[in-house]
Amino acid sequence: MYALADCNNFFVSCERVFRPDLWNKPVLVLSGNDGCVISRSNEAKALGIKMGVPLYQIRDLVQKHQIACFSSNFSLYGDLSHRVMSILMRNTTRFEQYSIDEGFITLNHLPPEQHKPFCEKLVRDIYQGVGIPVSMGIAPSKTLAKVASKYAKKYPAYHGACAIDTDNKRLKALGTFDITDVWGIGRKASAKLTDYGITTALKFASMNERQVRTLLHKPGVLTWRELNGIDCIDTSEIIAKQSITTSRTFAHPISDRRLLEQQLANFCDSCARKLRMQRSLCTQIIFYIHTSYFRTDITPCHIAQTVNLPVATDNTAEILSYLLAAFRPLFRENMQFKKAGVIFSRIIPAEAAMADLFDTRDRTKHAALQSTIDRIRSRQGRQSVLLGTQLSPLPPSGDEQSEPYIAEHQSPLYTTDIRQILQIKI
Amino acid sequence: MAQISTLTPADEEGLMLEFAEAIHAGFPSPAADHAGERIDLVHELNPHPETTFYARVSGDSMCDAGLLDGDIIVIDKSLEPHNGDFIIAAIDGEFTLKEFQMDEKNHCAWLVPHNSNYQPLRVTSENNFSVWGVVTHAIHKTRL
Repeated sequence: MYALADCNNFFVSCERVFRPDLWNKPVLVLSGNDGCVISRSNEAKALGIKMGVPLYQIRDLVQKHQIACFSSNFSLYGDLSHRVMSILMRNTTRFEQYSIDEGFITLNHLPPEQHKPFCEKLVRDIYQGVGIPVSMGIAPSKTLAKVASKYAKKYPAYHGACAIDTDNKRLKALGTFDITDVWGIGRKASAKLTDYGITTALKFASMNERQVRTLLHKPGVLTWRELNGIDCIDTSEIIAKQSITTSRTFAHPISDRRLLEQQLANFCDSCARKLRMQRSLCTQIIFYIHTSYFRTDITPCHIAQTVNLPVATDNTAEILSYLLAAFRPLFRENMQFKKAGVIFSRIIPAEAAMADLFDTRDRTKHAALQSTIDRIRSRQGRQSVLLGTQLSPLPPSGDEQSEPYIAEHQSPLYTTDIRQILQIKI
Repeated sequence: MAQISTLTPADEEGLMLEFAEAIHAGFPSPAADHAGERIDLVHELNPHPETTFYARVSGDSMCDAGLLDGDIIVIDKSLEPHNGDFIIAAIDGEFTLKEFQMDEKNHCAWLVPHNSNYQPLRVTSENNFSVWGVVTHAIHKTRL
């Protein structure tokens, strides 16, 4: 039996932990450069604010209802996520984190009648201990656990935990569950299914396997089996298949080559760190820079390049050397670049790496250097050791224009910087 | 499938023994068995890292209890508050730190300051009240 723990409105909930004045008030969290809405409190949802809507389109609503808006504060979200995940991990024999705000645990160490009370207690403990509201879905497969967690979130009578543990409950739950909301059914697949009149998860689960295979191929069959209570999706495979990406839109366009290289170096560093954390390697990187799509008064320029790495790696310096070698000949002067990003793809588990007979790089030595850097950073902060390319090529100035990102409404780093901890007036 | 791995000589790395003392002939140091043991203050102050938060206090309402302006406090959110605990309470949208007293007879709770210039605050069901966490330690810097 699985239980999925899904944090409710996670980013907003993180902001609220330290702001009792915002409990029960509409709150939004915005994407980088304060562009779009990426997390909404229930009160904000009730005002009709949709996910992903740009801030400028809802300015009047924000003013009228005094909606609290926050720039994203990923240090805070990461720390609180880590706390929630640690508590889940302590309470199970097998734990898989699926995303920043979702994790699966197995309940096989408990007798079935204790599953729901156990999860209800976990929900209470996490809420009291970390301040984050969580919904849990209990089911024999992960896809069904996702369905159950949605019901737990929607109906308070479940006390935070909903179980799909009998066939009767499964049929009832799937009967009113929209096919577009099923985990693993993408936009294309759900459009296809809707064409055939398959609008609910139950109608999909009742199809025969051959039909599903013709229509949606193997991934569709896996989801179909999961909805029928057969556990067959390995999330570690899904996570490994995903690419890792970092990109930013700059508040002020950048035309300096070295400034762009600094940004790309930071992106590579951040992606490579994630690779190392999940113990995988990548064999392909894609980078891109482009000018604003919305400006008609400047020459548009879009540069993108795929770089295949000769040997799978997770080493920041190595990846960066390939990236810069590919970037420099493509760079064009006097362009106003507004956005840049890197994508790490073709990701493989570290154990699956193959040695290259002609590899001249001393991998043992570089891995030792990298892990030393990682250790220093974990103690002294992420900015404590940087590669040369990551240093700002320009002398520091008090000029606001030099700040490439806007985060006007960022909350303090309550849990990761002693200078910014919660202030309490007594 | 045969696996080929590159072997590199351990020339620079050498063999490092952390804190190892020079090897003498004769009686071994009785302290060697205890090498590496240290007092971990963080563990003492923060035995539940997942549910522990730090905050800085300002104000003087708790000064008679030794909680002074600028002190750092350690708050464990997972603890059940008992009478006499110092708690961080959220009351009507604001945080405060006071001593907690449950008054079962009068169906209310009291938030008790430790400074005679302040009055205890009565908390009833009328208030929007919750206990955010229990204060377990205060860190006061004595050298400024």
